[in-house]
Amino acid sequence: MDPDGSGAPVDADARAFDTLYQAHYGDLVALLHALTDDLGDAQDLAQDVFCRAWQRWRVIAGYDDPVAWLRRVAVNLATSRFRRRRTADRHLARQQVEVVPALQPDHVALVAALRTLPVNQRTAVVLHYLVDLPVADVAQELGVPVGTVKAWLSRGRAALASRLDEAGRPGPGAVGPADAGPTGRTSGTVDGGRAATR
Amino acid sequence: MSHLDTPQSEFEPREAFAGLRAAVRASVTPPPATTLRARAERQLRRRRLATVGLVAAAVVAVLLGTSTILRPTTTPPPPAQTPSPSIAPSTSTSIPPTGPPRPPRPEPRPNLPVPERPTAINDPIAAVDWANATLTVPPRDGCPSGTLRFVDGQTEGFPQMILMLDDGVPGQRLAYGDLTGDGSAEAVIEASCLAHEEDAHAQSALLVFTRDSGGALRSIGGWVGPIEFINHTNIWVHGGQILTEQVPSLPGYDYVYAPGTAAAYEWDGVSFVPVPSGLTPVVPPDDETLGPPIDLGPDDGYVARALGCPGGVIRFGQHQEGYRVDRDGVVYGLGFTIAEPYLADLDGDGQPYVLITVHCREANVTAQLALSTGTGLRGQGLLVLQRTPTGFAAVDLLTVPDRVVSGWRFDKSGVLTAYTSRYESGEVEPTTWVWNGQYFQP
Repeated sequence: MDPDGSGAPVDADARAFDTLYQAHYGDLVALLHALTDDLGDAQDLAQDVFCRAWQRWRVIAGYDDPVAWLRRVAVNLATSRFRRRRTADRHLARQQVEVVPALQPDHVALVAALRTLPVNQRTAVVLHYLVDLPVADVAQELGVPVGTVKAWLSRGRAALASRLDEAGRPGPGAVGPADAGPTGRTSGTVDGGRAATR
Repeated sequence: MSHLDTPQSEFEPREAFAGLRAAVRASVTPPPATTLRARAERQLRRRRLATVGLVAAAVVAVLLGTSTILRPTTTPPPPAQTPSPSIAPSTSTSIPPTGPPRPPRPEPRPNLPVPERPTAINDPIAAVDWANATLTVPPRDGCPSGTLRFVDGQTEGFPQMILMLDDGVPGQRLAYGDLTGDGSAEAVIEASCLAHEEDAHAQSALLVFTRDSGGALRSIGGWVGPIEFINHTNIWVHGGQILTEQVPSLPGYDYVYAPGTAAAYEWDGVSFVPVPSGLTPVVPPDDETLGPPIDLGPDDGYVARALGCPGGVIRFGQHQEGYRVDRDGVVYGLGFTIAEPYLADLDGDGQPYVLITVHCREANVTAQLALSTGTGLRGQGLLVLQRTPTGFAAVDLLTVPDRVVSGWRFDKSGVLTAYTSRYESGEVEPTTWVWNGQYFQP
């Protein structure tokens, strides 16, 4: 296999890693995008996760479910990133316009609504509904009881429905929360790469 | 219809998130894998250089008895590890067998009478509704303390304390026993705290509660064990000791755990202090040694036939691919996750068996190819190991045809639920067995 078409020799370990990378990169970016509300950050973080995986490949390849490891690292990095950026965002929000890629308005609205949830609710909602993890597995990954996850999911689902309902109300001319949200973000047409303007 | 147009009651989160996931997947392209691997290896080399530099500087500082300026070392870094194997495409191909012929699958075994398990402890504390109790708890950073009212296993507001009473098996993380020698039972519960609303990862430790004559419940001995990102996937009391499996709950977290071991704590009159549990792991402690001998039984025994490979004694070593043994043209591999309870007190006598997934495959396929597609896989299942004076003996292997076991829970009533998936689909189904004193039966 020559995943990059470079003709360079690739050993069996690299082939195995590359297969995992190609198969799951998109899903990991989707998870991180839902958690961070920033596709550029999501791609940076996803690459960081896979870098860490390659550095520890000897151990990770022996896991029953290497993807679960990737997912957990992704959630941890997203949580850390959120905490670090939270304060800065408050100051930068009014001054910068961030271009997000050409997702459908309802997807943009969904991610914007997710951003309004507390991190624990958001993480539980994303792991359950986007990653399709059973509630018990979400509980295991977050280190909290099943009942707590159920409560977070219930509150998160209700809050999302409410936010999306509100977002739909303004009527014609309203593009969605991405235009009107508290951070002043606007939708744009970047090809999925890092935001052009930050 | 977009969910923006739907009334609140019609919001379908699963559908909405599936659409988001598909849209993001379609909009991103991964950078070349070679570029990413090269970046990872550069990072690793930089870290090693920094470490070597810091150590060298510290040595110089000690030798000179003074502080010194850190200089980069000229020692070339070791080559970046480009370890292990093999995530293969989910395609099923036939490959030539490399080992001996596969033995016939074992005949179904008769169902035996299920023995009565020891009844719940006869102490008023066992009747407490912990999820909705009022408890007095000791202080700890990031946690509430004092007399706290719990509703559905958690306190209101933040910092918040959560009692880990339900991880899919109610009571898995709750144990009773006389720990202080006063003739009354105490309760051991895993508790964790969320310091604030944005805290998504709880750090857990154990609390021990005693019930006074008036019915009040207060903790004794402070927080038990390390307060870390660990799951206490199992808690039980035996011989006046608390025993618990402490498994890291965060990947890459620097907390050593080997399947088969447990931490033990004993009351010293003031607090619960760590003591040796005597429970040794089924795997070697490092990559230089072999693990303890594991007797799979005779070639025509149930375990060997269910596994599809020769029996006898094997000892796992740590290879690039994980814990494995190469023998007679086949490879035996142990599975390892960070979420399962490896120890199970099947007989209710405080002497836990070890549960761990094992597979056997042809030597010319990787573990990942075999487990994700079934290619070259002779057998896979949940191995039940009993301790012997010198190591372990396999007493059972739980298998489901054309499926692989990926997780399990053991209920203290004797029921084991294994979660299995088809090789390629990933769809997970539970299967339950009950322990009859000799093996698990449907």
